[in-house]
This record gives sequence, C-alpha cells and structure tokens, in this order.
Amino acid sequence: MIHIDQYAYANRLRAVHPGEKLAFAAITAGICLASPSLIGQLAILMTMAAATVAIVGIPWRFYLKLMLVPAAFLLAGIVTVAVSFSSQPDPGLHGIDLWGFAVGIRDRDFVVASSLVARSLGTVSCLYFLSLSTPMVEIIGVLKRCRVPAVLVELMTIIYRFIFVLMETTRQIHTAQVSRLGYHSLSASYRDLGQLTSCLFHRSMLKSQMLFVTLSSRCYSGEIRVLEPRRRLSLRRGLLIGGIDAVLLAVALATRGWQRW
Amino acid sequence: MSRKLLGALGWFGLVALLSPGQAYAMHIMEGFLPAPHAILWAIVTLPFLVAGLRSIQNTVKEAPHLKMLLGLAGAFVFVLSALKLPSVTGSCSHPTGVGLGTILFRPAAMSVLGIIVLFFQAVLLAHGGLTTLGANTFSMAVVGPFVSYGLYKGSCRLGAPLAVAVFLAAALGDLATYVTTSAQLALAFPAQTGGFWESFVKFNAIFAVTQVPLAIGEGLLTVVVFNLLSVYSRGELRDLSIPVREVRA
Amino acid sequence: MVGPILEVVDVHFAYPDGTQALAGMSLTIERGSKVVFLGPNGAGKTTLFLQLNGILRPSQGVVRFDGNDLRYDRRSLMELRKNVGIVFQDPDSQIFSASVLQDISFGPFNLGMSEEEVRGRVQGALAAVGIESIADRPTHFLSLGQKKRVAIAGVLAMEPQVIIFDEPTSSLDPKTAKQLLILLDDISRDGKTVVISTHDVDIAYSWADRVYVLESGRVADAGTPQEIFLDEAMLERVDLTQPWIVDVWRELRDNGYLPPNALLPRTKSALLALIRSRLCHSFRITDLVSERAAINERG
Repeated sequence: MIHIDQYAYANRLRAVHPGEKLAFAAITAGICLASPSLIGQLAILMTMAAATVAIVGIPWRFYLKLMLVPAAFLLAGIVTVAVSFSSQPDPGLHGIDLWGFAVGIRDRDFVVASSLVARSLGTVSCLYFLSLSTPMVEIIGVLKRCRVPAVLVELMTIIYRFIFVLMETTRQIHTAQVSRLGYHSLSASYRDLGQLTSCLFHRSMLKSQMLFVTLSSRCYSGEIRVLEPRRRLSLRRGLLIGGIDAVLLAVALATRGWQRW
Repeated sequence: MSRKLLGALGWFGLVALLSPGQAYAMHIMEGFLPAPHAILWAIVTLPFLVAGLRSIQNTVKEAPHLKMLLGLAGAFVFVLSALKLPSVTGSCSHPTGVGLGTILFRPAAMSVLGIIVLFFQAVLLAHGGLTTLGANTFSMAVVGPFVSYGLYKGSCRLGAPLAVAVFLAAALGDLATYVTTSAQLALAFPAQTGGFWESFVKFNAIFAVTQVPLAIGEGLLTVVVFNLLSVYSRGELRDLSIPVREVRA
Repeated sequence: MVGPILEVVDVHFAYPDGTQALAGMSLTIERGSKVVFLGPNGAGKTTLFLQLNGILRPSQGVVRFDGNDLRYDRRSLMELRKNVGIVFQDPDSQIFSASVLQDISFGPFNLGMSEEEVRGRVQGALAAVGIESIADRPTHFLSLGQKKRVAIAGVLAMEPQVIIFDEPTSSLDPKTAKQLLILLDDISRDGKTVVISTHDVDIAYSWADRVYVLESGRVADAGTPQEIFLDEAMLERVDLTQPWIVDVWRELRDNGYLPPNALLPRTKSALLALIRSRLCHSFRITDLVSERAAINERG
C-alpha cells in the first residue's frame, strides 16, 4: 500500500548517508519557502524532480502521480486565495457578474496564487526527494542525532514498525468481512467498519501487552537503545549539495524582480 | 485578462479531473504556508508537545509498558486515519481518528501521537507536509483533541447519553480542527479588501464541502466503535480508565 | 558440565482472570540437553516458559536456575534473562523495530555493552542464523521464516545459556520448518540448552533428548522420546498421536518383518536403513546364487 516506503528501501541513493539527503532536502526547501521569486521556485521544482527521477531512480510516471496527491488541496487552496467577491462593481476584479456580485480575480491575488503554486510544488518536490530516497528508520536515526527527545524517537520506532503489522491485520479482517458479504449497504458499511475498528483496537492492545512481555524477556527496563547503520559522509557529495543550493539561491535572488506581469 | 482567467479556469478544471477523488482530513500541504507562519505555528505547538512528552516520561517510570501501549496506540491511529469512511455520495473520505484517539488515550498523549502520525503521513503518504507540521499539529493534535475531550467530559458530566457525548466529541473535534486550519490559512492569506474575516469565511466555505460530511461520518463511526468496545473490550477500557457503560446508538 | 540448569518444583500459578495455568508442575532441564514440551493449547507451556524467564512469578513453589532459587528484584531478573532467552511464537509481537540491525542490538545494549561490542554480537548473531543478506531490509518486507530468524538472532545476540522456542515451526512451510530445525541443532551443538514446545509429534520424537508431556498445568509424563511414544495408553489419554516412525516400526515388527528385538529407530534414515538391512538379509541366498551363476559364466 505504501509505495513511497518501498522506494525508500530500493533506490540508487540507499547507501548514501541519510544526513546528506536530509540536509539537501531541508536546505532546498528552506530556499524555496523563503524565495521571493517564482522563477527560483520553479527552478527548485525542476532540479528536485530531475534529481529524484534521474539520480534516485524513481519512475517518472509514479513521480507524476505522486505530484497529484496534493492537487485537491492545492486547487481548493489557490481558488480560495485567488477568487474574490464584491457586492459593488469593482474595476480591479477581472471576472463575471453573478446575481449582482462581482466574482473574479484581482491582479495581486493572481500573482499570490501563482507563486503559491510554485512554492508549494517546489517544497513538495524537496519532501519527495527525501521520502523516496531515505528509509524512515534512517530519518529517525538522524532525528535522534539531532537531539530529538529519546521518548519521541522510541515511540516513532515502535509506531513505524507496527503501522505495517496493523495494516496487515486490517487487510485480513477486511477480507474476512467482504468474503461474508460485508459492506453491502451504507448502514452495513458503518456497522462493519465499526467492527473492524474495534477489532483492530482490541488486537492493538493485545499486541502492546505481548510486546511488553517479549521486550521484558530481552531485559527491557524502560529505555530502548539500538544500533544505527554506519554510513560514510562524503565531502564530494557535500560540496555538490552546497554547489547546487548555492546556484538555486543565486537564481532565486537574481530573478526576484521579474514578477511584473 | 479575461483570456488569462479562462486559461486559469481551464487549468483548474484539468487538475480537478486528474486529482484523486479522496478527501483526507484537512492537512495543510507541504510548502503552502509562508516561512514566518510555518515557524510561528511550530513555536506555538512546541509547549503542548513538551507537556505531552513530560507527562509520558513521568508515567513511563512507574509503568514501563506504557511505551508499548502508546506505540501501538499511535500505529492504531495512523491505520485508522487510512481507512475509508462509507459515504453516500460515492466520494471517498478518511476519518481523522482524533475523537476516538482522544477519548481512549487522553489529549496529552494525543499531542505526541498526533505529531508522529502527521510526520509519518507527510513522509509515507505525501499527505500534509514537514514545513507545515507545526500548523497541522496545532489544529489536529492540540485543538482537535482538547475540543473533543472537553465536549466528551462536559456532556458526560451534564448527564448526556454516552452515544451523544461520543458523537459530539468526534464530530465537533473534526469541525474544530477544520475551522482552526481555515483560520491558519486565512491568517496567512488575508483577502485584499475584507482582510482576515473575508478570507476565513472563504476557506471555511470551500472546505466545508468535504469536511462537514467527514465530521458527521466520523461521529457515527466513532459511536458504533465505542458501542462495540464497551461490549467486547471492557478490560482494555478499564485499563485506560474509561467509564464502561452501554452506549445506545 | 552436566546437571540441571533449570528446575521447577511444585509451581502453581493462576492468571488474574482466575485461569489456573500451572497446578503443581515439577520438572528438571539438564544442561546442554534438547527438551521438547508437548501438550494441547492451554496445557501451560507458554506460562511455564514465562516462569523460567521470570516474567511471571509462581504463586506457590520455586523455580531454580543453576541451583539457585529465582529472586525477583531487578538485578536478579536481568541476570536470569541474560541467561534464559525466549523466542516467542509470533515474531510480529517480538520484533519492535523496522530495522533488523536495531532489533537485534536491543538485547545486547540492555546488557550494558559498548557500541563496538554490540556491533560484534549483532554480526555474530546474523551469521549464526544465516540472514546477513537481509540485514538491510525492513522487517515488514520479510517472510515469516525470515522474521523468525530475526527474532532468534535477537535472542542469540545476548548469548544466553538456555534458549526457549515457543512453537518455532508453527505456520511455516515444510521446507522452512526443516531449515529451522537444522538451525536449532546448530544452536544446540554450540553447547546451549535448547527447549522447544510443539504440536508436531514427529519433530518431538526425532529431535528431542527428553520429552515432557503437559496436561492442565501438570507434567503428565516425561522421558526419552522412545519411552514417551511407546506408552500408547498415556498418548491416548492426552490426545497425542504416535510419530509415523513409531507407527511403521511397530507395524513391521508385529507382522514379522522385523525381529521382535529390533531397536526403535529415531530418524527416517535410521528406519530406512533398518528396512534395507532386513531386505538384504532375506535375499542373501538368492544374491549368492546369482553371484555364483555370474562367476560360472565368466569362467
């Protein structure tokens, strides 16, 4: 079900130090978020998309589909930002007259909305670069090294592991229900989904008790310490990341005044 | 200019056609908030997260099994939020898990579980974002749970039937989350003439289409679930110290 | 070193819901032996294992490790759990991390080892169970057999003296189950005491040094596999079947194909060898005749 997770474990940058990938994604996202220039944001989007498809090795069809995941939110969001209503005729409002209301887009809002699209998609491309190239376990490892509280890291480790266990449980319960004509009407659907959820809750709690027993038998006493995989930091890649981000930053700064249309 | 408008509308139409017809709980997407807003909401959320972590840390000392319990609880909330709610219209929406999670595990724990679940949703499902994690945590894992819990406790105290209390907690918890998100968006993008309020009304209106049915659906589901739990999982509910009473849906 | 490593003396235990899981159980596990526990679900196998590892505490009676009564303070429990490891039936309740490396390193870190030592232990355990090649894969992409191996490595890395396996072959396909039994033999050959529970009488018969049959929280019978599986009355009483080797051997013997004093073989290959030697014996005369004929022809 979670394809992103599968790519995170099987891609060409798998052996690269997670800190490098996280830094690249974070710095670029930072530039994108702070960038005053639409061109700069589009440049980031293109760079990250190219890096993810060509270097990380993600099939472009899958990448495009992934780009459409936030489309519904983006669409609703920018329509809300761009479209204005006015009860009086308004020369600044380019649009149509609807039952005495002027409905349309103002010049400034159009600029805001279009840069919003570029900024959002640019930052999304940074997130995707990270999530498609770096396994969650290694991302959590970097967070640990960044002094994120131990309890939070331990909970993340357990939650990530058991998401997959519980999804499999859910799939089994759902199959069992459907094979006995579950979900055949709206009211049945609510009843059956309720059954599934309460069953899942019950099993989750049982699992947590069992997990406590099994970890106690391995001498658990309140703290979870684990090994992190050894990955080598590369100066060359570090310089490359610095170089790319410097260029992107330069593009953003150089094109800041171009939004006059 | 009107040609530009037509072009824009055509583009919106195209996107609408291509977009998967799924309504998740309203998470602000990656990169949508300007940097100052993203940072501000992260700072606002921090104290709640710290308080939640403190309360967990203190309890873990006496009850080391709590870590496993919360871990499974977090995974449960994540999987719950990936289920599809049955809907009349045929569109597909997902519960938030805020109401049920809060009643079962308390608001303090939910703030911690919430941020982890939102983090995983952003990275694993491309749903929500990391730069908007602070804002989304505030609406989903702070405001939502506190409203849910307040309503649940309040209605129980006023003697309302448990089914009503559970429905209100789940449905209005969802609505509170969505109204908070609208406010966050309106603060970031105030309208040129009407300012914050005009923008707030616009965001509420446009997202109501998906969020109001979702809130009602999730309210109903939570009542069904709670009813079943109070019959079949009395033991667990007692351990989580929830009054075990039969719910009449 | 021989002698008992674990002793259970008249242990009683009831769960909070009132289920009497152990009702005066007594048994002894010899150091370095291979012990199998048989018995229906609810006979008390898992409860017994949790007693041996100090997770549960007897309400009456004592458990001894290495001749000493168990104590239930934190330090004593750590020492006990370091020496008595349990591999549980469902690896999805035991593996807590998506990373194989992380999961295996959990136990050694709890023993207070340094990171370098832990790394060594993890590598050793990975090699011992033969999963170095999947160490990089997340646990949610592994097959059940692979997950069982990860769970075993997590216990082996603590280098316990006794390893208890709760139904190690359940829900495994025959090939994977067979490979797992070979792994258990390897572990036993390293000098560890290996204890397993199973419903499979064939495995119990061929693999064990000593078999315990449990029934409603007590030991119904104990002995060598031969002693246990020749006691038909007892087997019938506890609803156990005979291993097929015993079945075939008895059939052959009772019908005169084997001499009445033929020894009961432990394994399939021993049984086949026995049959073959009998076949040779009965055909020896004809063999000689045809051999003579061949020589004559050549001459």
